This record gives sequence, structure tokens and C-alpha cells, in this order.
Amino acid sequence: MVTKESVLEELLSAPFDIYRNIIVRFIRYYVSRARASKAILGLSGGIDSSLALKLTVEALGNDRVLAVIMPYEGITPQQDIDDAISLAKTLNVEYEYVPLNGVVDKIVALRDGFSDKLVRGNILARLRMLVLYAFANEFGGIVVGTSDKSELLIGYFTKYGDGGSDIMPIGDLYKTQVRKLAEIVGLPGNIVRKPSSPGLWVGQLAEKELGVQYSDIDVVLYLLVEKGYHPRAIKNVSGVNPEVVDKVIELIIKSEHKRKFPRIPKLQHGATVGLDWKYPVWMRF
Amino acid sequence: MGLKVIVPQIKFREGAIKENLDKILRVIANYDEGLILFPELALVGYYAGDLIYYLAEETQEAIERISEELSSKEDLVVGVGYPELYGTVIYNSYSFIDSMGVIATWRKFHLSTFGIFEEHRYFRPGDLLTRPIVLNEEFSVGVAICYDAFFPSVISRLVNLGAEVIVIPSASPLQSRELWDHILRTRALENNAYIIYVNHVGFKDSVFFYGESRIVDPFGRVVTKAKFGEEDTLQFIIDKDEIIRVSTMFRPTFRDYRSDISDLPLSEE
Repeated sequence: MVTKESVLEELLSAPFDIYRNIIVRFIRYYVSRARASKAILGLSGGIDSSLALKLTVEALGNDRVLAVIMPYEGITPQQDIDDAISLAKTLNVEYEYVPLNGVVDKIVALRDGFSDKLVRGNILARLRMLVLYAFANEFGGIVVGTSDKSELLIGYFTKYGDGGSDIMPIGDLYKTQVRKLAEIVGLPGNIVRKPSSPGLWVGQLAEKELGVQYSDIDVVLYLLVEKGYHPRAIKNVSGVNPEVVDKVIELIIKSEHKRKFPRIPKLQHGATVGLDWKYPVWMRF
Repeated sequence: MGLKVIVPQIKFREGAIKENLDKILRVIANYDEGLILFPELALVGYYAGDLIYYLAEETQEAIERISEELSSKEDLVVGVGYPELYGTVIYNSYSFIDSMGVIATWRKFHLSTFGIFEEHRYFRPGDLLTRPIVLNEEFSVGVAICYDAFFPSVISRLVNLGAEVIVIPSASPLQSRELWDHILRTRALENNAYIIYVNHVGFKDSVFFYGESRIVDPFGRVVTKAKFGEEDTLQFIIDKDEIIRVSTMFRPTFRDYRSDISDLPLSEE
């Protein structure tokens, strides 16, 4: 019988050695196809970016990776900054420390409404993207995004902020799987056990803001996406809270726009970008 | 005398017909005899999206070029997959080519349209079955393209028409790996036929094609297998006596197969 526990067990018994292997090959493949010299990655000291960094280093070697640490000093917990720097040092990768206080404050000062917590948080996330691409341009690199599958599906990311990147190597792993793989690849215990947080304002914690535990979110997502369960059927699974199912489905629906190219009204017969335009990346005519 | 089979498990690039053709020609240059087998839609790198519409018009020339390359190699046959423009429709086809040109073409019957696959967007399903072709005077060889092998009927019919060797050109991502492990051995065993599985390898867009091309003997044993996710080349000589021994003495599934079951009248009880 399918229960919440059995689903969690299945999530955590995925073939992680193969997943790791494919992710590493993918990073290598993409960087080589893009003829990029470097991978540029925003490192927060949280679990996602730490794992993404570790795997990127496995793929490219430590000398072709640049970690960029972009705190808003005073909001970003000092512990995260310390963890990020310490991980960069452990992996022997070059890192840049770029606090964003000055530039965020300048933009926030443009208008009263910009000081709102959410507006300001998204400005911070998008400035990080901007800085990463500046580094990518400077070095001829690509930007490695660090979102995981759970965040992508429930839309827990900033459109064109942390959602803006060239590749997302861990984007097909659920949060609970990220934690497991982080443990397998030997990331420090305090990073593996750290509660998830976008760190956009003081005291922001993912599970607190969402009102749902990631283990619950992942069970619902896994049954929906990997097992093809209708939401109705997920509610019948023992141990799953029906309210959580509704909440997760609502998050998916509300965030669909974030997972799409900007919508374009279709006018002509030929393929429309983002809709029925189907060309593979790295094809050749 | 056996049938020498060569499976170059090499990377083909999406849409890059010229580059892919060059790779095929370079492989051919290394051999003088045998059957060289490339995967499904090899000429266009399988995952070519809407480029297929353009590429289908260019494949005929590439096929002719391959045949030209074989003009001085009378004992060499090459199997290659490509989008075949026929009149006003495109088929997902696989041809055997020798110094004289195309000697047989098989078309895919069961088009994959699920998950990452969108073959119904481009192709018309095959509507005529091509009989197996005899190579090296005594080996009857037929082709079932990728998803066609997931159904017993295509291979079973080819075997009933005499095929002892079935080529399965494929474009299979990692997610299908476990399924192929079962199906290839089953198809070999239930048909007393050698199965030659020829897969793509490496990334197409962000999808990883896992390779592991292989040859399975008529007893369902994997006799040789290419690397996971890496370029590799298989060479194997298929032995007629082995086919005969298994299918007469050890597990004569071909002898015992009842093709009439689906037509039997139902009992009254």
C-alpha cells in the first residue's frame, strides 16, 4: 500500500550514483557545447547552491568555476556567509565577495513602494542574477542556476532572479533528494542539515513561509509528477494531509507562468516562440 | 562462415546531417566486410525537433553518398536510420545500403509519442512490412525500429518470414534502460533470434541517451554490450550453428509458436 512513508522511502532510494554521474556529464557537455571558459554560480551557503557548486567542480575541475557570494549584509545570516566562504575554500574554487547593500538601497530609494519586503526581496534576487551575468560576460562563462525540482514546481523562486540562468543541474531533484545527494557527496553536515531559506529578508524560512514541510510537498509532487496520480488520488494516500495537497496544487497553478517563456499571442501559421517553436539547443542547420 | 556485425556506438548531433554523414563515412573507411549498424535517425541525430521537416529533404543525397563510399567494398552493408521523405509524407525509416544503393528499407510502425517523444508530429507510421533480407548467403536479417520492439508482433512476423537476426536501431534515454534490459532478452528468447540493439549515446539537448548497444543471442544471453554513456564499438560474428542448436535442441520457441491463437474460435463454455 502506498503511504506517505513509502513514497518518502522511494524518493530517497533513487539511483543517486547515476543521477550524480548524469548531472556531472551534463554540466561538462553543456559548457563544452557553449564553448564557455567558466561556470559562474551564486553561492549562498544553503544546500542547493552548495550541492550545485560541488557537482560543477566535479564536472569542470576547481579552476573553471567561479563562486559569487552576494549577501545583503544585515539580512543574510552571517552563518550562511561563513559557510559559503568556507565551502569555496574547501573545494579550492575562486570566489568573489560582492555585498549588494549599496545597489539594492539605491534601487529601493527610487520609490516608496519598493521598500516593501517582497518587492525588495525580489530586487535582491534579480540583482544577483545581473551580477552573475556580468561575471559570465566578463569571463566568457555560463551561469549555473541552483534551483531544485520542488522549488521549480511550486514556483518558490524569483522570475528572472534565481530563476534566471543557463542551466539548472539539480533542477530534476526534489528537495529531499537534494539533501540526500548532498550527504552522499560529502557536503559539511551543517549545510546538509540547514533549513532552506531564500534569505531575502530577516528570519525568512522556506517551510515557515510556505506553511508546509518540504517532506510533505515532495510526497505530493512525487505522486503527481513521477507517478501520475490525480490530486484526488493523492488525498487518499495514508498519511497525506488533504489540505497540503490543495496547497501544493494551488502553488503549482499560480506559478505556471514562471516556468514558461513569456506568453505571445499566436498570430501566424509558423511556429511561435515559446509555444510551438521546437528546435533543440545546440542543433545545427 | 559467420555474419560479422559492427556496431559503432558514436555521438550524432541534432540536425547536423553533414557532420553526421562525415562520421558515418569515416567509420565505413575502417572496414571491408560485414554489417555496420548505426542507430535510429542517426543521420539527423534523432532529437532534431522541427528541423526534421527540412532534413527529410536532404537525406536521399546522404544515402547516395554512403552507397558511393561502398562502391569498392562489395562485402560491406551499412544500416542507417533517417527521416525518409516519400511523396508528401515522412517516415521514420531504416535502410540497408550496399555498393548498389538501398537494398531494403523498414519503416517504424509504432511511433513514440509520450514524454519527451513527439514522433507523431513528424512521421506517418509504417504501413507495409518489408521482408527480411538475406546477407552473406545464409543470414536472414530484419529490422524493428526502437518502440516497435515493445510489441511482439513486428519481430514475430519478421521471424515467421525467416529472420534469424533482428536489428533494433534505437534512440533511448536513460529512463528506458531497465525496460530494454527485459525486452531485448525476451524478444531474443521468444523468437530464437539474435537481437542487435543499436542505441544513441550522449546528450541530445538535455536528455541523456545511455548507449549500451548490445547483441543478445537466441537463448536470451547478452553476448556483448557497449559502454554506458560512452562512445564504443562492438564487433561480433554471428554463428549460424548457434541459432540452429538453440532453436532445435534447447528452447525451440520458434518451432512451437502458434501464430493462429488470435484467430482461434472461442469455446462455448
